[in-house]
Amino acid sequence: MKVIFDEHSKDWVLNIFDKSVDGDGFIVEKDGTRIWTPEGDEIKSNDLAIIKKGSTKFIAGDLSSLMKETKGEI
Amino acid sequence: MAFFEGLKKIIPAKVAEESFEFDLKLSNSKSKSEVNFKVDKKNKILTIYLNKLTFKENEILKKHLLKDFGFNKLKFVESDSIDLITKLIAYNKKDDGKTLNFFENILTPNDLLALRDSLFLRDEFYAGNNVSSLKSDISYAHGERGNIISNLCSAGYFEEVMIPLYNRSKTDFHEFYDLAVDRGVKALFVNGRMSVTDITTEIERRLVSAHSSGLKSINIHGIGEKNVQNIKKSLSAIIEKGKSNFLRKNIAEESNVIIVEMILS
Repeated sequence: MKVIFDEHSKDWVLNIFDKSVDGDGFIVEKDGTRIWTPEGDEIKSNDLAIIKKGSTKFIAGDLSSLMKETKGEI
Repeated sequence: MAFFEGLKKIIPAKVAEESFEFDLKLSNSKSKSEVNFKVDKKNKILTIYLNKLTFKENEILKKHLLKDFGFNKLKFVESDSIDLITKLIAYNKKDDGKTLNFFENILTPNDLLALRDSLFLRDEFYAGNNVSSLKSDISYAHGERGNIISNLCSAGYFEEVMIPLYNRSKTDFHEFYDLAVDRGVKALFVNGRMSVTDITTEIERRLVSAHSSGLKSINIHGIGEKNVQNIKKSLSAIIEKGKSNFLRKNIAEESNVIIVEMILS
């Protein structure tokens, strides 16, 4: 099942995972540590496309990331 | 799913049961709706208006979503990404992977990923869709090298030039590939930001570069009326100067697309 969120409900969704957004727009842990995508990049809230299981993966919405996601490589 | 058990505590049980296999949309926008949900049977979407939930209902929803997420029964997807995801899934199903498979053990892994993304971009371009954000994504993910690969791919170089060349001579292929991708000499892709002077200067520079590299020709590509006209003006300017080292040119033009092959002397 898909749970669809948008920019207005993004913070609510991040809150489920105890994540928030820092002053520069990056998604952070409770202690302020920036989280990483499976590709090892920090990720801005604006770039977030998918959150999926697998030690909770935060996947960006660019072509390269979503190509990997749809091919099951992430 | 645990989530739907929780949902029954927020919306009428009958609605929750009817929406059992629907996707869930979380909305935090202002709504005129008097209830905290909306059912879209046609698109199979159940919308929950978060700002109409009580604190307790909010906590119930979060708790149950997290529980099902933990069991890998759902994933969260941002609404603006759904279109690209849907297109990628359809593309991955229909694409035979022929071009990519050919280059699998030939190109570096990074170039292969850039080519894979570029093939999708080309598919979208052929379908008449706006590809500007995809071009930016390729540039961001793969840098200038990715841009060149994407341009070569969109112009058909990989299938029409490189595969036949590789089958004929692996050495010639690698020489060509290095020139085309590493130095970007072989093909100039004119974009809307380039003035006639920019194009003229760039063609002249590439003619000199190609000559010293032993290339027999360079190609100029343009898509769109403005780019086509600017390329023609640049060619006229170069011919008028009469100082360049090209022997003749072949022009293929159709529906605001131009390809000029400049044969070097």
